[in-house]
Amino acid sequence: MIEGGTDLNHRRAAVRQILKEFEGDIDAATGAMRSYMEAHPDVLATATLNVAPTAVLPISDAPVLLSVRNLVKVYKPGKQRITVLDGVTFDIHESEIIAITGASGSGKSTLMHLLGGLDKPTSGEIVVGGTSLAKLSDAKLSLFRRQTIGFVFQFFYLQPFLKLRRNLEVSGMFARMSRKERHQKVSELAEKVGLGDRLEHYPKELSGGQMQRAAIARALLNNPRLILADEPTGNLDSKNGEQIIELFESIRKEFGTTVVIVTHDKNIARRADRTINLVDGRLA
Amino acid sequence: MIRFGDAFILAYTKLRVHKIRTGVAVGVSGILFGLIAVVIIIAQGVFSSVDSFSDVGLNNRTVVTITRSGGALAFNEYDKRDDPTFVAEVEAAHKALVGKKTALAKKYGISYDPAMEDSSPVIVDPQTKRKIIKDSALGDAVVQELANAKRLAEYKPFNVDEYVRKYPSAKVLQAYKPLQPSSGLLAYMKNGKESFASQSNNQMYGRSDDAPALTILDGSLSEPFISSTSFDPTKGDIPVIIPYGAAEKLLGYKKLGGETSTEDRLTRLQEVRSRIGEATATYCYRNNASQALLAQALAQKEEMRLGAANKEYVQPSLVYEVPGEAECGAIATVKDTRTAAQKKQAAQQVLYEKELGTYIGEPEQHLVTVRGVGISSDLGASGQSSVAEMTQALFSSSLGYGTWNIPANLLAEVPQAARPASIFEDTATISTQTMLFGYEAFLVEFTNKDEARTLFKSNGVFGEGDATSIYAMPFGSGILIADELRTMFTNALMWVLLVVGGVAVIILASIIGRTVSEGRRESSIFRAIGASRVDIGSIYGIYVLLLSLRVIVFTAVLGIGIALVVEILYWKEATLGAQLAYASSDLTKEFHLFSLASPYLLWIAGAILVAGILASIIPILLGARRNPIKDMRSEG
Repeated sequence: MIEGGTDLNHRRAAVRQILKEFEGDIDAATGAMRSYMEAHPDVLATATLNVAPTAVLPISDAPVLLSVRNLVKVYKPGKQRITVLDGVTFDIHESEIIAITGASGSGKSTLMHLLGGLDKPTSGEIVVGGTSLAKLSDAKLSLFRRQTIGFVFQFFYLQPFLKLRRNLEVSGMFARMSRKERHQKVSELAEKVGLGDRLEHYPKELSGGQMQRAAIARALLNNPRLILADEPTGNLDSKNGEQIIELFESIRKEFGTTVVIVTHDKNIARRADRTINLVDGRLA
Repeated sequence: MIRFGDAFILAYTKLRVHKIRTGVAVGVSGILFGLIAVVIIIAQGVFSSVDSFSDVGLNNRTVVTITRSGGALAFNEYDKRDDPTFVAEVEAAHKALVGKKTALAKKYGISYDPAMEDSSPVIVDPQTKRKIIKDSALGDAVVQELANAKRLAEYKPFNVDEYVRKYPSAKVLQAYKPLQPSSGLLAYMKNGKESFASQSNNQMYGRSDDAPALTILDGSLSEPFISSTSFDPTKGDIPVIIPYGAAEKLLGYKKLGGETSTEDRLTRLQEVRSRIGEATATYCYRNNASQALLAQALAQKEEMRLGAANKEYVQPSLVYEVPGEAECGAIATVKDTRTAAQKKQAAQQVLYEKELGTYIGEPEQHLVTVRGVGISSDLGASGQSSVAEMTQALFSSSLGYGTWNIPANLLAEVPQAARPASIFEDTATISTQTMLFGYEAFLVEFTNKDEARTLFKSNGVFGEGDATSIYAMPFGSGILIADELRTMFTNALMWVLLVVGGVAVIILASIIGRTVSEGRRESSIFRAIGASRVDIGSIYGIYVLLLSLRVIVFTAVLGIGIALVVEILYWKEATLGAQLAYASSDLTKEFHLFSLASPYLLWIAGAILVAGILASIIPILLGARRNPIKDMRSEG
């Protein structure tokens, strides 16, 4: 049994010990990890993945939902060549809450868009739920997004001239969900995010926190396996930010949804299962 | 793909977001198309109303006046006064006349001084030293006889049958010309009085409203205009169809002022129509001898008036009496103190003139009373040249300008004594005026309207006219012109729609383009939450349809609204105009200016939709193909 402390160095040492002890036997390592986590639930909660870019850390025995391999994204504005992502590789397991952190311009948002199939990588591969996004046409990518992904944005992007109920229904509209089903699910989700009594209000009548919860509810409408949240608390105060992360945890718990959050907020990152830190387009 | 209802919800939201922009686009485009709609609705109303009057008057027949005027080709003595050949002929004729007169004067003991009575019409021009005819002699009998002979030799009667041979459905109905007595004049008696001042004007210058000519019209053509059932031919009056304005005057009505209500005008029309049988007018027929005698009596009267103050003045031995102005009577002799020798001399003078060929016969005069049996339209002139006149003619059922028409069938029932052959039968020789101006008109009926149209295009109101002297005009109905205007309207409408449609495309394109570009962030969000490009395109497509529908609704409201106002304000006046123009016997017929039965209204709706679609294709395609990431970045 590995003994662990609360300081960061100690926790890192513990992980290394585990890896050394069970080298070559990932399953055993996973089992050991689970045992360790049960005994020391705080040890890995805020662990930073400070490993080589190609390394994959099997921190869960849940199936891998999202696999990123050697992801490169290069922009060529004019004669310039800007490498935004440079050989990024990692896996994300089902039901994980992952924080992607990094300084401005480190490639967080680009990574987020690539994961959501909104953009195409220059090279490398993204596999979500066994499907390689590179092989999908634009129409298939649209289908993939509405079936698999739920996006949450910093600025909420609710339609100002639609009541909240309609706003939440929009993603269901693109999925050709029936009106009745939409109505029922929106009611349930609104209750879940604490907006059951606000469905007949316009967005301007809601607070920032309420709007972001509404955006999360909208993202959940099509039962996505993966929620991609881009700075979801960036426009909120700390109290509302806390509520949002609690909401993500609740969603993960209830629906088993994987949540990837791009954030600058250290508190949010600390609450994630893991943090992927990007520095100049590479994993730190 | 997104369901239509859901796309509709999202598209409708866009209209609500950009209220001002949408309002401007809808307003400007709607006004442009709305004004066209107004024109179409009113024009359709007019055309439908014209159609509803198609059984009125001669509207169900296609009768055309074909007129030839060939004056430019006729011999003109004024142009030939220095022509050596003509001058020599005149000189020879004058010499022969003087010789003949001298001989006959000697034979009948008549005093004759050629130097006084028949000075030579030929003089030597002091400048050119060449012989020419004196200006003052151009009207002399000797010159006129020669000139007329030349004109007659040159004159080719208008062979209308030959002219219309190329139109198989054409049938010549009759010559259409004013009554022209074989000798003398048939003069209108204005206010029932004979004008002693300018007897020859009517004949010289033709017809006018003040001195209407009389024309005999085929019974089938005049029948639709007859409204009086009380005409009694045995009384000796001549039946006549009178233009409305003249009938109104004859019945003693004052012309209604511009402020008179339409109801009052219609009432007046009804009254005039019902009382047309009371409207009478008189014409005075005098043959050449009667005219000459009247002229002598008038001159004598003047001479005696002037001489009354002169004690030395001696009255003529033979004094005539000028008849009363309203009588059209014979010129009676009131005093004859001539000696037997003087009477013999007068008898010799008659014999002399008879042998010379200048005797003008015994005086003959006849008072002709015409009585109204129907009304024709005042509108329309014999030669439309301006758009205003053509528009006026659109509704006109005019039976000729300045002409009162005598129904031939009713005239035949009038006793012969009341309609002397010298006036009513076509015995006149070709007049100098006819030969000079070549004015000859015929009424020709076409059973095939298209042939009439072809004629109008080549030689009439629809065409630009060519060098020929043939001119064709609709007679008794403006329906063909209305048809032609309808075609012109349709052609013009096409162009206007193209131009307005082009302007609308530009307006809508700018509005839609801005809406699409400003909706990029929204589109990128939609793309992120699962919308495909087709979904985005569908939303904008429905947005454009909704925008176009709004333009259509605004256009319809504006067009129908304005046209309704026009209809409410003017339909009664239009009805009055049509009743007057068509001289309809059914005064309950109404002329409306509003009809939605035009297929061109659908054209407008189509044009608006096409404009919207054309304006949206490029922005929507470009918008749908944009990378959502760029749009999110630029906005976020």
